[in-house]
Amino acid sequence: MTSSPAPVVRVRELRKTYKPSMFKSGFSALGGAAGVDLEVQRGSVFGLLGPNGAGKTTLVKILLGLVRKTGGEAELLGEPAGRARPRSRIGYLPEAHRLPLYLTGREMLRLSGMMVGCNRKWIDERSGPWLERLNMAGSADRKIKEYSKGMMQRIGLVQALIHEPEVVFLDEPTDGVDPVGRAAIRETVTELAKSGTTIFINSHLLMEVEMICDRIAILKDGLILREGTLQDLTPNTDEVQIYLGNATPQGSELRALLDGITDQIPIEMHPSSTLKLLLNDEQLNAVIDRLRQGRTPILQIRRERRTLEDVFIDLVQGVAQ
Amino acid sequence: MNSVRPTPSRLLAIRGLFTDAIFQVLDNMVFRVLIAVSLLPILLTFAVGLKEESISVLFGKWQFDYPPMMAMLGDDPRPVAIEWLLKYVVNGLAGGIGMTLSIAATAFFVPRMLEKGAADLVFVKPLPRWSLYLSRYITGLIFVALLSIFLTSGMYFGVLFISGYNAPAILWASLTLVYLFSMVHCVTMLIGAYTRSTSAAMILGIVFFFGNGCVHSGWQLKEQYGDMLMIEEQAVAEDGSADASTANEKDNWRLVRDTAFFALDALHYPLPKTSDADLVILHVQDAMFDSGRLATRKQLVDSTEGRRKQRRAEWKGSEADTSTATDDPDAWFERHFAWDAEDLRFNIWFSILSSLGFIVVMLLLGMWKLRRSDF
Repeated sequence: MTSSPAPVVRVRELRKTYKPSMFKSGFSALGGAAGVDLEVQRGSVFGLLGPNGAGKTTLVKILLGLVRKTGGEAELLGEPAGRARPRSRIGYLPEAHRLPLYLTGREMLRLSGMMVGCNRKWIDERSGPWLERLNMAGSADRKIKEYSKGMMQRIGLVQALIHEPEVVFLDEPTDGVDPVGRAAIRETVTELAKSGTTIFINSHLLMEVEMICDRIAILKDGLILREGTLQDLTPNTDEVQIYLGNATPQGSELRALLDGITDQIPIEMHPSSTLKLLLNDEQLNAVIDRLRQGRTPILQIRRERRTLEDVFIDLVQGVAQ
Repeated sequence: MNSVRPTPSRLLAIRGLFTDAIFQVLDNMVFRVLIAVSLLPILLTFAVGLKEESISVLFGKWQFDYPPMMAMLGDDPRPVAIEWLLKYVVNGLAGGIGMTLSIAATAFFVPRMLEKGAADLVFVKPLPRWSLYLSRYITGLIFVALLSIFLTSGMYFGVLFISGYNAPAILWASLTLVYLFSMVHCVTMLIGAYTRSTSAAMILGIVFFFGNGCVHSGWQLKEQYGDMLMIEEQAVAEDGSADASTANEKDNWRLVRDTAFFALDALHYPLPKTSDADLVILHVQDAMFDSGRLATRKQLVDSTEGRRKQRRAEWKGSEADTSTATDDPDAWFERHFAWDAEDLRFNIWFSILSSLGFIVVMLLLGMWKLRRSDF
């Protein structure tokens, strides 16, 4: 019998409530009354989605010991969250981070690595390739105060990765980065995932998460509304796109060909010879048979999925149950 | 490239903190300005030579005799002149204006570390929070230590090369400045930890520095004149010459005075003794190396002080002890460290220990606050 490996992140009934004070009213930042349950497996790329104020950053900060939990359990790398030892095995790129402006990029990487307990030579050996990969090699010896926002984000990512952590937490990693920089960051994350590093991404950029993550959770008002793989979250729809060859019957000829199957179904024919139909599987098979009988060339058939954006908006607006 | 990550070392992590501290200090604009300003007194010691017989300006271009008052103080007036330099230039200017600017320049250390985004990056490191807080305290001490070492060593070499006089007391003055700053910086940091505001830490730190100095100076005045006042009042009361209205006024005044004295005592004992910093270091140096600075300082601080002591002793009905003998160990200890040492206005051990105790309490409060904070 083989036991499944222990998750790198394990959260049970986790809650965070800020008590009211003289100047502020109290509120629940995470978990509500029931708490949050979550597990992230080793080697996965986990995306935590949610609107602003959903509790994404609070959850990560509790795991990293930056915020104290009110109730429940939180474990990081098998140890209770907040302990110093697992923190030497993690990398963190916070949202809206403030890097020390009095240092150059290279000095900051050295100090960051040293504070995790790595020696300077070992850090220097690693910083070169990372800086190259994120197009920062030419700016590494400039003071951070001279960096643009995108450069700060990229050097911030290098500091999160320089000590070869087992788990990397990235909070809005592509925030303020130009499209080229975004692509470089995405590529870096993908390579890290291939090398077995666990990645935990907090974002509200759905496309990024869709492209990178293999498991996703959607958080709203401190509660996880849905969790699963991208396929789980974005089910197939009834919409089918059939790409046809050039010798395709048009208009009434096509309607005559599909007569009896698509009487009640609107047919949408695009100029690029793409047929868009709302069909169940049985109807789809019948349509294919008819098209073949009519010697219509079929190049590709694709059943449309719901996009993550559709699912997210529905969940956040309370449409989906 | 070695692909195996070495075992993390706590020592390296702490070294990282200290390196960060040095970088932070060297990048500080006020630090650079103060270094530039420190050049002025250093250049003064190179421009003005204190020779045994006269004062030589710009390598002998002009010569001046010592003022007659200094000539009266001994054959070689240089020790007194050096004490004067220490008292007014180092302790006066550097210990007053320099210290105020240093408080202002270092007030941001803790609030900036606790800013959203910066705190996330720092506190996620596998280092205990107290060590991060302590590193900021040490950063402040490094700030003042570098400045004061630059100032005093520059002045020391100026006096050594131009005046031909070896005055290690000048170097000791850097310790005075660090000791003084250590008492204030812990308060500035605590305010920073609670308010997370640089402005609050800066303003309240400076207010504390001057307020604390006032309390301590007030207490010293009370110690000097308080008992004389009481004896005088007692004598007037025994004389019985005062009428009823005068006696009533005196009662009111006595109530105010006693309340003020009580407040001074209540504040003086727990607060750090910033006004003692100079004297504490002077006594430590004198006790450790028998440098004779105490005697010199006494000459400088003077005849008026001596007359005051004499008067005080007369009021008490005893003779003033002016002994400076060092041959008898008991007398030596009594002179330097005893609780009621006659030649001190304060007890040196109490001064040092209460100040250090205050620093420790302030640091612990700051660490406790940080331990309970969310970022």
